[in-house]
Amino acid sequence: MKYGPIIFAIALAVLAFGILVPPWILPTNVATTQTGPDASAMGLYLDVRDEAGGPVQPEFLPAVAQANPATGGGYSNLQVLGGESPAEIDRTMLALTAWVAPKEGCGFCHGGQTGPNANWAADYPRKEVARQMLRMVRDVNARWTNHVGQQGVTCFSCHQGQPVPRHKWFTPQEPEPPLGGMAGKPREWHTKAGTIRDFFPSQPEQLYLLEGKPAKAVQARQALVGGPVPENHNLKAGENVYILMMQMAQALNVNCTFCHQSRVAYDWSQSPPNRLNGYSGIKMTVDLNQRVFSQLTPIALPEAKGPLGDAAKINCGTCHNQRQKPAGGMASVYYPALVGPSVPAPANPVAAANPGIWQLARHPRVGPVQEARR
Amino acid sequence: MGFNYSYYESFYSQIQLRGDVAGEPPMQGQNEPRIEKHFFSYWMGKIGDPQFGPFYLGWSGIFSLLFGFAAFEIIGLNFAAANGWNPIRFLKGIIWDAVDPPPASNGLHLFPPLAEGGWWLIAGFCLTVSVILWWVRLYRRSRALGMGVHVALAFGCAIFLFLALGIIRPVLMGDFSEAPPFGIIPHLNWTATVSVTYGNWYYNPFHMLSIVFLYGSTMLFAMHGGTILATARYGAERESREIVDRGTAAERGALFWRWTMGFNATFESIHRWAWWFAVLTVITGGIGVLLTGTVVDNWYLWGMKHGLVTEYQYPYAPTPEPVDPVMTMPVAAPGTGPVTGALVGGGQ
Repeated sequence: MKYGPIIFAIALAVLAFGILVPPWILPTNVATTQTGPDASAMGLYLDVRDEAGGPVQPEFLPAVAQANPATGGGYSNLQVLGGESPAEIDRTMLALTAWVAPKEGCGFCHGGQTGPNANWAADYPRKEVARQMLRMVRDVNARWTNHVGQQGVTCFSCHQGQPVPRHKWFTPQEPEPPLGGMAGKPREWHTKAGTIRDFFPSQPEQLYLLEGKPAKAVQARQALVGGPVPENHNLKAGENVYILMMQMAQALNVNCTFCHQSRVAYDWSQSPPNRLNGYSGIKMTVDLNQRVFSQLTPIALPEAKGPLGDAAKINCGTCHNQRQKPAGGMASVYYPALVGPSVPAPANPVAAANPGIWQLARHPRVGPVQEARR
Repeated sequence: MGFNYSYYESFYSQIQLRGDVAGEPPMQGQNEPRIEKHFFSYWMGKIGDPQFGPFYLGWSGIFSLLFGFAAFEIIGLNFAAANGWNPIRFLKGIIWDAVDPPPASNGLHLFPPLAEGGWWLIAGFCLTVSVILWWVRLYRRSRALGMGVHVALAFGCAIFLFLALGIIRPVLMGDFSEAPPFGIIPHLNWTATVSVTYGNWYYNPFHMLSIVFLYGSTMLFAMHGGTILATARYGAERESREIVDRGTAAERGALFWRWTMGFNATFESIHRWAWWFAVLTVITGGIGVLLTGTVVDNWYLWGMKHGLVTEYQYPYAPTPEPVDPVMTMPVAAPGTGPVTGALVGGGQ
């Protein structure tokens, strides 16, 4: 055994690599909540460490409903917040600075201005983007209550102290077949992605979160071949829907059975009611990507543009950031300036078609109580 | 080597021999000349026989290797080209890269553009020729040694599953896009997608049988390997001898299983158990593949229809299916969106 020490050293190196390098998830850290009958493989798996910590939204309570002397209480050039009192606008401005640009300060949107002589009424490109974002937040809190519920959203829900939110996507570049089209076309993986969740292609997001194609009808509705063929009943669309669903699961840090019955994905009647909330979320994302984000391209700044020059668009992770409920919102403190049907907008299409969802989709609790055990 | 039992050494008391080629039985039938070279390896001797060679290549072996190499190169060079011939990107991306079959619109046409499935068809053809020629080689070498052809038959069953996935089912379905791509992660994604698209493969009874035989194979492997190693100290590793002359090792092994489960396989029949479990894994799996999408469109519904599983009682009321609203806002192409005035709220 003259090579014995060498083999022993290699074995030690492999062992050290195995222990130190991969991000192991110890089973003892994963809490399981059973949400269906015994042996139905219905469970929610959550690494308890993921729930600890997390970002906390800075809050600004109005101690006195009085205008900030620095601004003199006089606002002009108000296009979105015209209906709010100067004190409330002050409070909102302070809050959204802390949520979006805490390091950069007011000048981030107001053209780099500081000090008492700043002209807050002047328009700048970033201020115009902020205006559109403010409109969107008011719109979401007023119209999309069947997804955001009473918690609502604030700038912090997505931004979390960063000028550009962490999770976003761009219209994918069609991969160029190498060798002038002789070698096979590469898949649309984002090979320069830093994390595995950013690695997956954006094709499904483009189809189902922007163009609004229905991410459904993958599975046949009859046992045997011969009936009508559903729209997405093929492997290509099936894989796209699968990737969209994985994006969603990773965005919320949940597994498939959070929304779907383990044995049959398409059947609504067997699905946990969470699926309704996921559904309204997809529709809200389509709505916002179509009406807001894809329209921002002419005014978006370079840091929020993709390889094709399009403005960043959102997916589930933009707000959820690996949490079932996004951080922030207006659960404890209310910001009236962030709610308001102040803009003419089409009615919430999901709510218009489904008057019943609103109640069901408000954070339904799928309790561990077992019907089958009683 | 003119088999002599006294040559046997266990792993712990092994003496490795060096020298001329061990004695061999004569080859039967028509044969090509061999490569009459051999050498010895100490480390190979630790896990098997230290003697390497002589090799028999033959025409089927040569062409099998050539076609296999062609398939390997087509796939590898496509991966390399997709990574811009950058070796670092190639290594980082190798598990994600794919050579995809032609799109569904191609149907069963044999000559799509190279970049759109053409390479997949060529690589698949080369790989198929390669494994079939390897099967011919296994069959002919078995015959040349006067053996049965059990190994070739078992390999043939594996080829059946390979062809069922790659060519028979796609032809039955009418387009090659149903076949799995070449690639590590992409072919795994394919298995997940095909299971979901066709209902849920856990409700495919042939999938169930295939799993039974696969897990059964590993269990039989462990039982048989364990029994032989445990009785090796009584000479059980000389299995063929124990078949004709049941010695104390066979007696102990048999008694052990009769004590623990009431029944024992014989030194001969355990190998039939193992062989059949192994080949039934791929035969039943292949049948399950061939029925999917050709006869059965949704395995879950098929399973429910035939009472495979019970209805569940859920801890929540049936969830209503939402009515799908029409989302009709046209999408602007990147960089051509309307000006600010058309943004949310129309600027007021």
